[in-house]
Parts: sequence; structure tokens; C-alpha cells
Amino acid sequence: MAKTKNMKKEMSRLANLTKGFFKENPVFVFLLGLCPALAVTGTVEASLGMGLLVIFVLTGSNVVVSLIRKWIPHQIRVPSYIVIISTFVTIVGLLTEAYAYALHGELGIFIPLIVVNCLILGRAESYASKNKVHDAAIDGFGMGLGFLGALVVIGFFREFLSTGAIAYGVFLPLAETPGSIINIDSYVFSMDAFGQAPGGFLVIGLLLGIFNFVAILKRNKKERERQRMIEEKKRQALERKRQKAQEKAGAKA
Amino acid sequence: MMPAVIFVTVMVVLFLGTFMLNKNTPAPVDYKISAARCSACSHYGCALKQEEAEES
Amino acid sequence: MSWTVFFVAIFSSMLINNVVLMKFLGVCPFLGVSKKTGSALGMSAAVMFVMVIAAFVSYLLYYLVLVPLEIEFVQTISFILIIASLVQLVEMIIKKISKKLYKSLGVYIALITTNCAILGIAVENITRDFAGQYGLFPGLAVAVTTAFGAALGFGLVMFAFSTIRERLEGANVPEAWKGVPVSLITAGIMALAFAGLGGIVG
Repeated sequence: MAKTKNMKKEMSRLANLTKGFFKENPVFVFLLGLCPALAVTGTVEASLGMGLLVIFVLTGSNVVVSLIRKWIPHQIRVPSYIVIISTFVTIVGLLTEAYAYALHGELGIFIPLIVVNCLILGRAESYASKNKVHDAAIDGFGMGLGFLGALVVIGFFREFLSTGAIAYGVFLPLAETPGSIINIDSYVFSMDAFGQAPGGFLVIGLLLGIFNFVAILKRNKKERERQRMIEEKKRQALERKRQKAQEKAGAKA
Repeated sequence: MMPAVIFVTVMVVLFLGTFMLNKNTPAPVDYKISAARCSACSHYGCALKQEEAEES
Repeated sequence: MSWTVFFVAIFSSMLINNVVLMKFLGVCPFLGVSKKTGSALGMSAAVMFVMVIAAFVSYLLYYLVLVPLEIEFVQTISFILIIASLVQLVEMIIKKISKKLYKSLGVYIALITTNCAILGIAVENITRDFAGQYGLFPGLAVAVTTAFGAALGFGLVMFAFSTIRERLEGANVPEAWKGVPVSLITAGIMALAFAGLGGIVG
């Protein structure tokens, strides 16, 4: 009995961690934090950096908000969240400036703008202010991972379409010398617009549409299956009726 | 370090002060708040709340 | 320093480096409040009002308080706090002075604290170092002009986008792309058009 309860708890924790990946993805489902999702996803590496910073800020702010949730008066909770989040953003900004200067230059004003990312305030208000510390930490980490995943997907398409390669080691200290994972080295894939401003809107719009398309296809398939099942049942019922009628007729005769 | 701490404290107090002042000032008219607020995603977790309301 | 500086500041921040389409600031209200032309204009007016005041106050705060005290690293936290207090103050004043103004702008003023365009322009005014280029107070004038131009650009794009979206309601869009995706693609095409303006002013 105790074991099943424990397992249930574990499962719910896992669900808490993974819910941000697909089902409640902050970017593709809730459209939160679109500003950074559009602005810094020109390359995979910058997206990765932004995602890591957001994970840090989101986990930290969720933990602190959850820790002091009983002492914050209800009326001034939003201002207090803003103060907590901007403290974490300041820390993150200084850390990136010290350890990943190239990333700091690339992200630019979007590091201070993490403060006004709707995702972080949203999680603080709707989750961390009502739940225990470890749950809030898991939620923040999971949601941050979901955000990072979405950013990397967008960044992959944008970088590949604009340069035909996926570079690493440019902004993050991942390798001694910069290189690239994929490089098809073709001029066909040098559509500059995708790396610049218009590409952000186009890529996110197309991706959202494609996700919707897949969801609609799935729904239609389910619907068709349901219809087929209903028809099958109807057919069976009809057959049974006929058989019964035949039996009756046979008995009469 | 000390000036920074004092300065931020002053700013926080200023913000809380204006926040409470604004909250205690009665609004002259009621306006429909939910639609614009939620769709502009500026109101924290509003979208999530709306969803919860829809579910229940 | 001549008058051309102000002209260039307005022109470039309004059209060439448009806040929404080129810098991706304020995308949330751009997508959220652009369903009707009326609300788009209300939001733009509120943004203009707050953006100009915020640029003025944050510039002065940075150069008259943070720099002399050598605590530039608290820039982010102090800017967000000053903008948030400012928004509260503006809302309160509007509540007190005019019922009509509150009716038309009140909703949008309340939304503005977390609008990234306001904080973004305030921070960018500092990173572009107007004070170093033109001197402290002329730099302030340039910063405020830039903010005004950015707000004009925001209004222009909001208005154009809202009229497009009103037409889009009746258009025959594929099922999966209805709503936000097609708006984003429309915005992308608008951004392509705006990218053509690049390079007019150096």
C-alpha cells in the first residue's frame, strides 16, 4: 500500500517535470516569452544560452517565491515577485558577463529583459506561490527545459536555413576552437532573411501551424476510429437482430 | 556594496508605496479587464487562470 | 550637434529599427491587443505616454544616481522598479484627473509594466551611450526623442497590423494556420518589407 502511494508520488513528480516539454510548452502552447523566442534564436548556440539563463532564473525565482510564500502579503505579491526575479536576472547578467562574454554580447539587452518574460512571472504566480519548495523547483526546471527545447528547435531551423550549418563554440565555451556539427556547405542554404528579423516571425508561425496540423490530423484519425467502432457495433447489433429473427422464423416453421 | 543595498531598498519602498497608493485610489469607472489583460499576456498567469476557469 | 540628429533619431527608431518588427520588443501586445483597431490605437497611445516618461526618468536615474554612486550593476532592478512605480503613478493620476481618459487608456496602462518595449528602450538608451556622444543633457534630449520615435513606430505597426488582421478574419486560411500562426507569418512579411528600409540613414 505504502509502496504504491510512493510510486504515485514519483510518477506525479515526473509528470511535473515533463509537462513543460510538450503538453504545456511555454512557447508553442501558451505563447509566453515570445520576445526572446523571436529575438535571440538566430543561432542554435544563442538559443541554448538564453534557455540556460532562463532555466537558472526560473528555478531560482520559483524556489525563493515558494520559500517565502507564507510571509508575502497577498496584496503586494506581484511587486515582490518582480523584485525577486530582477535580483536573479542581475546575478545571471553578471555571471554571463564574467564567464561567457561572447554570449553576453550576442544576447545584449535581452538579458535584462528576462525580468519581463511572462513565463517567469506566470510560473511564480500560478505555481510557486501555491506549492512546496521541491515541487516549485521541479516545475521551474521542467518549464525552463521546455522553453530551452522550443528555443533550440526554432534556432535550428533559422540557423540551418540561413547558413546551411549548425555552428558550435562561437558564443558558449563548448570547445577550444569553433566548429560546426552539420555543414552542408552549399550556397542554396544562405537565405539571410531567416537569420534576421523576418525569419523569426516566419519560422515560429510555420512551426506553430505545422504543430497544429499534426494535432488536427491526430484528432481526425481518432474521430475516424471512433466512427468506425460505432459503425462496427451497429453492424454487430443488426446482425444479432437478424439472427434472432431467423431463429424465431425457424422455430415457427 | 552598501550604497547599492540602500539604493535598491529605497527603490523597493518607492515602488511598494506607489503600488499601495494606486490600489487605494478608487477607479472612476469599471472597465472590462479580462479580455485585453489576458490576451496581452502581460497579466501574469492570467491565461493559465482563465484555462482553469474554463475547465471547472 | 544639429537638428538633423533629432530627425535621424526619430526616423531610424520609428521605421528602420522598428521596435516590434526589427527588435522584437513588445511582441505580446502586438499579437494580443491587435484584434481591433480601436484597442490597438489605445494601447499605442498608452505605450507612447509611458515610454517617453520612462526614457526620461531612467536616463536621469542612471546618470545622476547610479553613475556617481558607482553602482551601475543594479541597473536592471532599478529600471524595472522605476518603470513599475511610474506606471502606478501615471495610472493613479489618470484615475484622479479624467474619467474619460481613464476609460480609454486605463486598461492598457495597467498592462504596461511588463511590456518589454518600455524596459528595452530604456536599457538601450543607456547602452547606446548618448551621454558620451552628445553630453549629458543633449543626450537626454536625444534619448527622449528616440523613445518618442520608437513609440510612433510601435503605433504605426500596431495600426497597420490591426487593419490587416480585421481583413484576415474573413480570409480563407488553412485550418491549422488560423489565429496566431497566420498572424505571425503576416508579421514576418511586414518585417521583410521593413527590412527594405535598412541603410537609408546611416
